[in-house]
Amino acid sequence: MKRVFVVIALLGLSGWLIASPAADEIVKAVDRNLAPESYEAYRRLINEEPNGKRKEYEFFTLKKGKDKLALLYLSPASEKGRATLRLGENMWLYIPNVNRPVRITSLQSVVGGVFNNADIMNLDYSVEYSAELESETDTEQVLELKAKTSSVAYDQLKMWVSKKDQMLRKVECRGASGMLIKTLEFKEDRDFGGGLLRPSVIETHSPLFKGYRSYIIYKKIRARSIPDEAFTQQFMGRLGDLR
Amino acid sequence: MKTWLGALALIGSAALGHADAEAALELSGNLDAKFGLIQARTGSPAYRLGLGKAPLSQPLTQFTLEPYVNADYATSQAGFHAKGHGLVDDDTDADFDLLELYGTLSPSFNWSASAGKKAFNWGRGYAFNPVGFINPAKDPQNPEQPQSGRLALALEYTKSLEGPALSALSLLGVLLPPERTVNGVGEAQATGAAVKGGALLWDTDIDLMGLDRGPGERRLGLALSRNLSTNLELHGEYGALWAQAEPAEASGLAGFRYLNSLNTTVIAEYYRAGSGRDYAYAKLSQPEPFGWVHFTPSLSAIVNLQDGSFSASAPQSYKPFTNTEIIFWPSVFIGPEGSEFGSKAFEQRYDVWLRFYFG
Repeated sequence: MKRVFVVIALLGLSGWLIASPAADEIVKAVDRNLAPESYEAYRRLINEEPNGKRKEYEFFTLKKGKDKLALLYLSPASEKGRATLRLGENMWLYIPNVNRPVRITSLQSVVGGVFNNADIMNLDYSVEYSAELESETDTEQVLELKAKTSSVAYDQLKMWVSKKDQMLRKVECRGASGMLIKTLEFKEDRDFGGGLLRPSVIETHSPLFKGYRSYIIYKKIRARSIPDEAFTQQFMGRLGDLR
Repeated sequence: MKTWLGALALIGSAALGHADAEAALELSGNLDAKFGLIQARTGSPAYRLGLGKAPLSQPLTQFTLEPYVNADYATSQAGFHAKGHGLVDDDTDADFDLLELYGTLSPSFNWSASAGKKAFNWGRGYAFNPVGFINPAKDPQNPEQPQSGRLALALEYTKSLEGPALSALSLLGVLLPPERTVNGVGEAQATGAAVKGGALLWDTDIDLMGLDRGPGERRLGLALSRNLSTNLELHGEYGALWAQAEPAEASGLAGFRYLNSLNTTVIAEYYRAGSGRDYAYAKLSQPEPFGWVHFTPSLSAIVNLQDGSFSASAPQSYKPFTNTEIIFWPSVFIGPEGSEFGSKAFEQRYDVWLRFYFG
């Protein structure tokens, strides 16, 4: 009996070992289908309140490689000129009147609403998470992702990926206790040119913010070669020069 | 004000005629309309000096308009930046200051130069900066208020690195004209120089800075900042004034910034001033408590640990509409007679700010 248990355990373990690298490759494909490795993008963030009132923000985003990301607020006027910079696990906020970057955390929300800095300044999923295949149907695969370090904003993700085009459809973000923090839905696929076909709308809602919804709308995204110095604290006041 | 705006328009139209067709002069800023109700400390020397000559009944009121106007024109390699501030406190009088006016030249991503009047902000502290050798004086109760710059010529080099420990290096050199001038001219030997080296090393911001304005004012400083966890940041500064080849006066700061699961931000700092005084500073802010959308209350206090006096304020910010902000800002200044905050001209004040953004 003991030998049977050992064999079953080994089979289960080998099955897990086979599934994880394949699941990680699915996540890498999802990342590549969402965006080039280095790109510029123009996005609009809309926070919608239960009474229907909306607040809108526009950003200019630059990303390079695995962990360099810079974001410049373009509107409204009250936020214009603010910038955030992410280098790996480090994040800074630049306010034009202060003339100096200040360290912030990924859990902070610079503009309010359901999205926080971790959502707006997110790195590739394959960089921050390791994956297992939980289940699949004819049309989609469901993956369980676990954060590689404790500094990642969400400890666990559940990810729905369409089999046909390995496009991300839905993500549930959970804390270490398994509590659901927010759900992201990826909709309205659009051809952005340069071979990039991806969802243009990310809608999010959270049980912690009942009645509130937030949307990120991709207006433009394209591959772009960007020098490393654009992702330094000294360049945060100059990000607009790259538009 | 008219002359300044006219000059901006001329520069803008000239700039638009240049080769870079996409660059344009961008105007932005905000108008602050402030109304204050003030209980003065009529017995204080500060009150007698400022307002004592004209006997006024209490409480006092103050109504001011403060426009902040930014003009920015930038191509990929050159730029022009101006920031103006106006103060209107009665129907017949208005003042206008140029807070910043400088040009920039950036021949590459590594190099950048600026010339003009520019506000520098050295240090990693929030309310105090012992290493802010060339910073303008700031109000610790409102550190994000725009400040007036200084004339300077600056050159900065930045290099991004892919090392496992060292991620970025920067070096900034600043040439400062003499502080004392007569009819616009000063002594060449009184020209000052400042330098700041920065690095991102092991996920820690490390800045080393120095200022030389002659034997009487040589300063050295160090500033650090690091995230200890996803919601806790530590920072510190140390600045020393050197005279006759040894430290004559030193100031230091240690502080942290903490974000809890309720989205409350706490900033706390201990500051040892070069004069020998010790201060404690704390600020709490809570965006949208109890589901009150667009509302952010905060509370801050500065305590002089030597004489026990303190100032406390509780700005309550409400942003119901895009590009507008309403702030109710009560402040108190408490302390025994002769103490720092107990000698302020005002005992209490209650301000309402209406802020309108444009751009």
